[in-house]
Amino acid sequence: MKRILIVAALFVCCLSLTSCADHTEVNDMNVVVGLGLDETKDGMTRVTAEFVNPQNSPISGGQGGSSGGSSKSKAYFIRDTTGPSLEDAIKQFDQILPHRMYMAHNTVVVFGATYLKHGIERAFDYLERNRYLRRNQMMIATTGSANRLLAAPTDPEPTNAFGLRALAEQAAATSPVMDSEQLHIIKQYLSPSHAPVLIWMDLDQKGRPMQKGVALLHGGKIVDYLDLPHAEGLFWLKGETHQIQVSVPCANHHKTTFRIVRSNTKVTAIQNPHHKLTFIVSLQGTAEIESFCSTELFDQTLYQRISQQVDTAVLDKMRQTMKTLQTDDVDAVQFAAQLYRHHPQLWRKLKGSWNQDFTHLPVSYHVHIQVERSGLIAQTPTRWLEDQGKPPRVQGGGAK
Amino acid sequence: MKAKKLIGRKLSNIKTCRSQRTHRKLPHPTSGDATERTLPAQIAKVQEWIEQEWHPCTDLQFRTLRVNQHELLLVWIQGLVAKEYIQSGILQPLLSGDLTLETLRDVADHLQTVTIDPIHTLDDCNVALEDGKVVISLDGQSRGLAVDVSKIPGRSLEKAENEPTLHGPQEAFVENAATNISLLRKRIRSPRLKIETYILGSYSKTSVSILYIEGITKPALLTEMRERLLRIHTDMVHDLNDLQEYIADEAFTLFPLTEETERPERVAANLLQGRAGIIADGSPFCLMVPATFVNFLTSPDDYYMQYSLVLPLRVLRHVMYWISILLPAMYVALLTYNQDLLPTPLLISVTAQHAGIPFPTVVEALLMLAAFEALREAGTRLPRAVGQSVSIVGTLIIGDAAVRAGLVSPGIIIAVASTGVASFTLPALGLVSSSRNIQFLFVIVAGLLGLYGILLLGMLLVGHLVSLRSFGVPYMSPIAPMIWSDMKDVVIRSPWWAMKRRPRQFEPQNPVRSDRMPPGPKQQKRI
Repeated sequence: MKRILIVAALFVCCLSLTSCADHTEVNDMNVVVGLGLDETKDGMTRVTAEFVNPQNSPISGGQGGSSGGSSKSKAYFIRDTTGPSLEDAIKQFDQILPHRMYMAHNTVVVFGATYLKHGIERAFDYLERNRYLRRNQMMIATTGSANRLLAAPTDPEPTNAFGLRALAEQAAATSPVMDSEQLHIIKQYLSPSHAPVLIWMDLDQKGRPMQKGVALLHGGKIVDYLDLPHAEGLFWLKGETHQIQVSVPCANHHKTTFRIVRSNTKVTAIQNPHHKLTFIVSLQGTAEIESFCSTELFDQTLYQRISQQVDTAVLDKMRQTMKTLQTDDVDAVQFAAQLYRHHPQLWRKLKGSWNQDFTHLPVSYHVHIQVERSGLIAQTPTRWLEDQGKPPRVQGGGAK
Repeated sequence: MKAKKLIGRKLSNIKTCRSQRTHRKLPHPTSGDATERTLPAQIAKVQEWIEQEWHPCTDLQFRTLRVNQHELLLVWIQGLVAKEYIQSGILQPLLSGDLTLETLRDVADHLQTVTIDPIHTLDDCNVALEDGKVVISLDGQSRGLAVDVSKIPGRSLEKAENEPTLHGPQEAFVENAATNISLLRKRIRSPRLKIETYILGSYSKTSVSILYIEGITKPALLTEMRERLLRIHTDMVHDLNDLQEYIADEAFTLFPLTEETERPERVAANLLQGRAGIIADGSPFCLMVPATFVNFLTSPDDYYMQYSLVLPLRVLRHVMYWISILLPAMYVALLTYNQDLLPTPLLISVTAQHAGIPFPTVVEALLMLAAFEALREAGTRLPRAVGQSVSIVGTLIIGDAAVRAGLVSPGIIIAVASTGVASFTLPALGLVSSSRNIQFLFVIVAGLLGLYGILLLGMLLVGHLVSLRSFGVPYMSPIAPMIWSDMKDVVIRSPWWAMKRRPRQFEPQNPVRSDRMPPGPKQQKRI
């Protein structure tokens, strides 16, 4: 009897920890799939929210799309509110929408240019603390207004926010630099480098969203935008990349295009005997030919020659991007984090003057990309017998 | 010591031995009409007493014979005896010549029947009549004879309908205990197969038999079984299902603690594992004890197909069991409290489905589950052909009409139908019945507390399962407590040549199946 009473008491305690207060039927909620943050001229925060219109969504058998037609026939609808802060503006949605706002399925947060200019760290606290929001939502920067980007059609994806997220995920597949998930961004923000990198999207001339490159932030404020060609240099500087195309001009006014199948970068900080800090960036990778401007027969010499061409092209881009970063004084390559991780004592000495030191930090590069395949079915039979024809080892020489 | 005393006391009650040496008959100590009155010496008094006792039964029949100045009284119950056997085995031999019948021994010597038992008391006389025997009383003798010419009506052997299999033997038990025992003797041709018979029910006088293999089954298990059976004081034992409730370890549980089967070969295999069986006259099933949870997820087909094919099927059955309990509750919890765990496209889809539905999800789920149970019950009660029609009408027409009318969403139809299909994959009816009840509890707590409620009730359920015992054996063994050596027949079914020992969980007296088990394929000589 005593045992039964104890079990009953425990059960009542467990029941009292929660209640039916959280009970919400699915048809009593507005599912938010995208948020946009802008700042108005009077310093207020304007929040644009994209909601699913379930009846029109093709997922549920509806006919709604992302473009054309009236707002009633679309798979989503957009509302915006303005308030002194993000949380105040979001609270106001309860006053204009008949059902409860449900943000657990939010997929993207778009920051408009004005909001980026005055710092996005204002939003970080709310986005991290709100228990409904997931930390895998994509953060996207735009040079226009977030409202416009969220409203832009992303055919064939009927819900714009999903289209924007799909675009961002495609970009993230090439390099972790383009991985703009909230968790990743917050980690960069809290790292010693204090320089998050967001994916940058804008509208093209037809008003459709497109990947433009990356937005460089110092702290939470925008410093610069790198377009895609320049962003590739950052990809190689920061780490692993997949399936990036590189073109090299030929003598006959044509060009040879390579696809760098994969590459990996290792950054090492070295302090020489004169206490001068140097960073060494070693990149190794493999590539194959997409198109070739010559009709030469592929042999060992040719492979060596074109490998060097790729090395040089990649090296140029890395140097160019590094120069831009140093000019902007944005440690987007996370050198500070590298120093903190491997030389914590040295970092303690340098952290006070890191912003000044970073601008003229000497960086040396080792690039070795092996062109492995001609892209043709026929191969030179002796190629694989040569040592030079094999993939590169972990560390080693190459173009300097 | 206590067990020995107990057995001694019960064995002292043995009054008669049946034809088979191991059959023992124990009268129930509280039989309401049991008397120790001896049979009167005058057949008129015998007839008068029987007439009074059985008044006004019109199926009781008498026949008086006079053979050389000796009067004999024959009594039987119409319908329980074969009249042609009375004619050929009793009447013709007694009336065919100039016989001298001074004692019952003289009568018995002239009868042409197989089984003849002595009758000492009026109570013996009643029992013999109930068993379909002819009672013969000789004038001047205070004893009688019970001549077995019974022909108790019953059906012949048929295919197992509740446990159908694609492979293996197909015959099933029938309502006649003697036939059922013979089906087992056909499979276990050893005198070590022991059968102890008890008579239970003061009015029904149902013969209930314990089956076991001497030298394999743990003696303490048998002692416990005898004790539990003889503790039963009732007027009638209808079926083995009555016994289940009497002898189960735990009264308040939804889970079956004894395993019921209608397949003789399954009983034979289980007896050789160290378990014991109980059969009752009038029941076409056999109860196997001890029973564990994993026994109920084992199908006879598992032992007739190639062992490597059993793994996916058993995994499927285990998954389906939990689906049959949890799926509707998960549906309610995810749609009512934990929408963040749904993939976004699925949430959009169910949101669209739910637009305009007048009931909350939990009410919708309970309604549909109740409707499904009603259809299943209707399908069971009706004749098979009509039952199938009811199922089709229920699932197709009522389900479709309910969705079209906007009463329920298509999602809940899918969830409830999937739950039904999952429960149909379970091989044991006992477990299906329990899962049907448990799923309602889970839906209610999911409606009140969401996944948190499912977790709470799940913890209680697991706690309850691991605390159950069946004749002393932990219900969740060999999973909890873990017995590694017995895991070879839980999720996987090891090849026969690898199952060299009997399950440890039943603590068999002889744990080794055979001293000379065949080797595995690798050890076989190449031809």
